[in-house]
Amino acid sequence: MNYRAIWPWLFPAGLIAAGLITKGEALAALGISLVAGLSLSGSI
Amino acid sequence: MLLPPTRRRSIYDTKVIAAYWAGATSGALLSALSVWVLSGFTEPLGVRGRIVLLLAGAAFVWLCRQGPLAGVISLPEARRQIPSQVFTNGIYRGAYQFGFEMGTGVRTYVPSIAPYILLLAIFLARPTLAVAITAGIGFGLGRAVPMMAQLAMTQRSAYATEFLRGKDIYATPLTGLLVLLGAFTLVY
Repeated sequence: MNYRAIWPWLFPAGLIAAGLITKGEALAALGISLVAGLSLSGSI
Repeated sequence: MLLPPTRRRSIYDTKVIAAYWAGATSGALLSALSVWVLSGFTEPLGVRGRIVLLLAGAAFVWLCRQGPLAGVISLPEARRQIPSQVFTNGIYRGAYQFGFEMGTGVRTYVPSIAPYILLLAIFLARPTLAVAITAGIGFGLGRAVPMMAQLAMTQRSAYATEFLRGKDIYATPLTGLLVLLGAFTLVY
């Protein structure tokens, strides 16, 4: 596993962290939905 | 595969991916808004009840998909590939319809637990309409990223190539945990 394989996850993980820290619902919603969408990438 | 395995990409390929992205976002919005409407039923629940149900639901989903109940209890999913007939009305309309079915999250295989936890979060959090729409847009974008990576791959992007190779981590419980973590922001 190359570290470059996880680069798309860094942005949504950052959004989730920002949502948790600021209690920003929209940030968290965008972050978790991106992760959920990305998690199905193997089935495309 | 929406894109042929060639070394050069054209504006034609970009339009196909744009149609796919639009379809995935439309499908995801439909699912997110449907669950958002149903979330009205959770109105009487307090914060503690929502958190307990979210944790219990996430645990149940994990048990059924990747835990000891896998193969015993089936989670709702359409166990089929999206049929190739969607492309009979042209490549752009086909790409849109293909993306739409992928974006709904319920019209084909769902190997990961993360989408189920996302739907649970929207259902239990009863967020504002804007937040539900944001979730739909995010899911559609997440669904389209692999296609965008394929588009970028031929431009000698090492990051896109490695991302497409790293499929082992997609359907792991880690992604479900990440969604669960973020879901607390919505529910709490």
